[in-house]
Amino acid sequence: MFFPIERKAYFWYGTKRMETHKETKNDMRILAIILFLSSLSFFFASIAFLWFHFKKTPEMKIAIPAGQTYLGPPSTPGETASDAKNVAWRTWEGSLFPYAFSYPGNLSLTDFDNDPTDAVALIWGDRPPTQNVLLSVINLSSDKQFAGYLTKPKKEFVENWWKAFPGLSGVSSVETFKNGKGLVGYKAQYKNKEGKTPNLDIFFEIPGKPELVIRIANGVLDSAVFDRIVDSVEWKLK
Amino acid sequence: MSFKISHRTILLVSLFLVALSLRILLLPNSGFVADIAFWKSWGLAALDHGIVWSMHNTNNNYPAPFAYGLGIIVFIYRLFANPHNFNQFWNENNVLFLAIAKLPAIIADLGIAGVILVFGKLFTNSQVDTKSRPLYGWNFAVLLAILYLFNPVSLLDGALWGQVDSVGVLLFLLAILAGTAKRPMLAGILYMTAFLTKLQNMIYGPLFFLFLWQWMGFAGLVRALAGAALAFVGLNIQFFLSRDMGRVIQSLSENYDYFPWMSLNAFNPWWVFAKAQGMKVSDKLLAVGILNAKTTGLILFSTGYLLAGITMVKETLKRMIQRRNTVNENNYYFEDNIGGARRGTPVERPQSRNLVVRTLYNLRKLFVWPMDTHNTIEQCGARTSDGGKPASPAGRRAMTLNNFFYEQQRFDVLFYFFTALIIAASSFFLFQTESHDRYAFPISVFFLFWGAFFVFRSSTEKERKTWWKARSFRTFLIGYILYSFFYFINLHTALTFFYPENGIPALLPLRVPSITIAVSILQTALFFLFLWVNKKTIGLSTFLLCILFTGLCFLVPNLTLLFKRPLSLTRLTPYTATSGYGFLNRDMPANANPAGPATWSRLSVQYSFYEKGIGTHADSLLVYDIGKHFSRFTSDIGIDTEAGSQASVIFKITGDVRVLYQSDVVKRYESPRHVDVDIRGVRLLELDVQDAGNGNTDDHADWLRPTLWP
Repeated sequence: MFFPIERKAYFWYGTKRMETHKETKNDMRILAIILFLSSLSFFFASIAFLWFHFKKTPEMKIAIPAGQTYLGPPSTPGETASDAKNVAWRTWEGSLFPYAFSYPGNLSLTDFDNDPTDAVALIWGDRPPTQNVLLSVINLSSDKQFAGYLTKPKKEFVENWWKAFPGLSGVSSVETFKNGKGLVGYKAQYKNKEGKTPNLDIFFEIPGKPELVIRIANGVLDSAVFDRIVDSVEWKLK
Repeated sequence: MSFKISHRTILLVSLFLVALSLRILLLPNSGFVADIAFWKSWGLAALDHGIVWSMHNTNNNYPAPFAYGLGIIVFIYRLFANPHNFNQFWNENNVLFLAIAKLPAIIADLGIAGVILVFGKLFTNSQVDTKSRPLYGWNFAVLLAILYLFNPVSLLDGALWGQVDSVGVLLFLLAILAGTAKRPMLAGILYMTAFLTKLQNMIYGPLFFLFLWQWMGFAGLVRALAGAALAFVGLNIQFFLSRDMGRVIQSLSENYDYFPWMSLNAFNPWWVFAKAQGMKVSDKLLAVGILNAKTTGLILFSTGYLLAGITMVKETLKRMIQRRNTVNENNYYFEDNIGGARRGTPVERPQSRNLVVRTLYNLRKLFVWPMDTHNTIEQCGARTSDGGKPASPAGRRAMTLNNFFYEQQRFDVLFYFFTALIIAASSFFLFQTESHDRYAFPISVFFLFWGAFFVFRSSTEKERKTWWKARSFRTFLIGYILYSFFYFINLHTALTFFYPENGIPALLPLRVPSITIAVSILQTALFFLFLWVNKKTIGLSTFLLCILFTGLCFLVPNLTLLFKRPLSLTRLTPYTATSGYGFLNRDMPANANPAGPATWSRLSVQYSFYEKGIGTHADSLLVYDIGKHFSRFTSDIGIDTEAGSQASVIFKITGDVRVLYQSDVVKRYESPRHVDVDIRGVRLLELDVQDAGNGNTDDHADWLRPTLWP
């Protein structure tokens, strides 16, 4: 790559012709250096462009490969989205029912095609989203096992909801509350077969819709994040 | 002593810098999101659990060693960020991952340009003065490098899309480079690495080893094959040690019929056939008589491959059957009677007048191990092609490896090889069904190498001094630009079919069917134009031979139709085939596992045995395209003898949605029933087996001796 460029030229050309040749060579060299500096500037500009994209907060668009494949080790309830407190929050609106709630922008949510409960689930770890359902709408009139509670107070439904699930053995506590959007809700803790109460379930009554109940379950979320989600749930009357 | 950097070097560095910068600008584009997501999944699995585990627990359908590369990518990513941070890692706008994942392709792009320059250097510095050496100097090689580096195809495929086609091509080029440098073992190793990086390199294998054989004789071929075998073992060593080579074989074979569609966004004749719905139309529809599109595509591809192969060996074949005149052999090596070199003697042993004897004698020489017993310079003598100069040690080594493929053919061999590669790659892309949009990518590189030889061979001595003015150069350049233009539209359209936001907005209107069909036709026409330009290289006899081959391949299976003979339905491939349990088998019942003979048995109903038929299990549906060629369909039906006592099914035959036959409940222990239905004018014949309302337990149902009558 490195060699004296004039050596051959002196050999082949006379001194006068060589001077012309040398001038041309010098012009070429200057041109080459200008081009090199330009391309170097372009290179640094492209690096700056890349750095800019690297540093800016990316738009959150989760892309999971199709089919059964590996997404990482299973997450544990302890690994919650604690950093979700520091990011921008977004609004999720139901596609079948007019519910809405806020959630941290770095959480990935998904819904399911033709789902009569209009459920929304977390995409988290390599668990299928169907096992991470965050919110769903229970229709008491279309669900045989709950039809009996259609005309009863919703608190009674909440107290007996566990009976539909063989993995639960009883209710530990049911607390009535009203969230930030004015919806009346119930915070329930159910006992599992081991007598423990690992999860918190939230049920909301829907004004003017006695057959509908919103259920929200926390599996992996940080409690502060979960509380804020619960507080933001609203029913937008159409 | 002062050293200065030449302005050419500065310009070259500038060139690479600009090419690199352009690619860096494309890095943040999320490209083909699904591909990148697969890289993440397979790479993370390889890093977390090892390559063998990853191949079993992901849907990785690439060659097993490719997972090493993906594992390394995720490993590098882990140095900067946590790949288990779900939202960050799986975000399609994860710029860090995009940059790392696209880096190999970008480096490969620059590497390909580097190899082009190395070849250019070899051309200019070659010690062997032969007729076909493309002596253009450095500038021509730089031009070729520019054409590749700034080709929108190469920019799109790696830096934007995120694919690794360029990595596969680079490795393959390095294998060729090693071959031309007389390093057969290394060439074999590199080829196998290319093959196991990008499976499409499989199709170049026979041509590549043929090239090595021509270049280095039988010894070179054997050494290259040994290198390839060594690399295969080495790259799959973990699977060998885990006694899990089955997964390796699966990874090499599972892509066959993986996407059974006419065209996977490759704009080729099948895209036209499917009316721009290539990914929605099954390739099991009939195309030529009773041959479905897939078989037709395979025949056409085989024809292209045959054309490529014969192009490479045409000259050798000629020499095999020609009776050689001892006077005009100035540039040849001469063999002694065991095929070893007998240099310095300008007379060859006369050959037989008998064509068969002569051909057999020459054929035998192809396999002679060319160990040269005359291993001193004096004994090796002088090569007449070098004007009588004694051979250099390197040249002597070359001579010991060379046998029947003569020195004066060396650069012809390379020219024919690159011509063959383009024909094979184009046939693979254009004529096979299930062809991917990216399968034509290697042509963007092969074409450049071919061009260097083509321009030289097609020019006069005078034209070669000003090659940029030569007509052949214009032909090559226009051809390359046209190919790049059409293929870029193909690639870009394929990308934006799925991810319009990741493409160039101004080009989105090109996605309409009329444009895609036009591009398909033009790309196909360009290939035939390439053949026309190479008509002298390929030769009329080669064309005729290939046409004859194609004609026979189409004719023989259709003789049944032409002579109006009955046709067993088992000769056709259904385009929809489902079975409720076990295996959907041809000529065997549902319990027979095609993977192993231990479970194989013959079709039978109540101990009436049948040679031909289809073993199914309710609920089962088979749909055949019979192209309105037939008037009657006959079959015996029944529950297979292997079924349990609870079996009960209903057989139903439908022709173009019209029910032609429906049985009542058929049970176990019943003798076979015969069905004869009129299918005139029917295109889609459906054979349906339903459970008879009591579940599908034991429902092993057989279509026996199903026959289509003209």
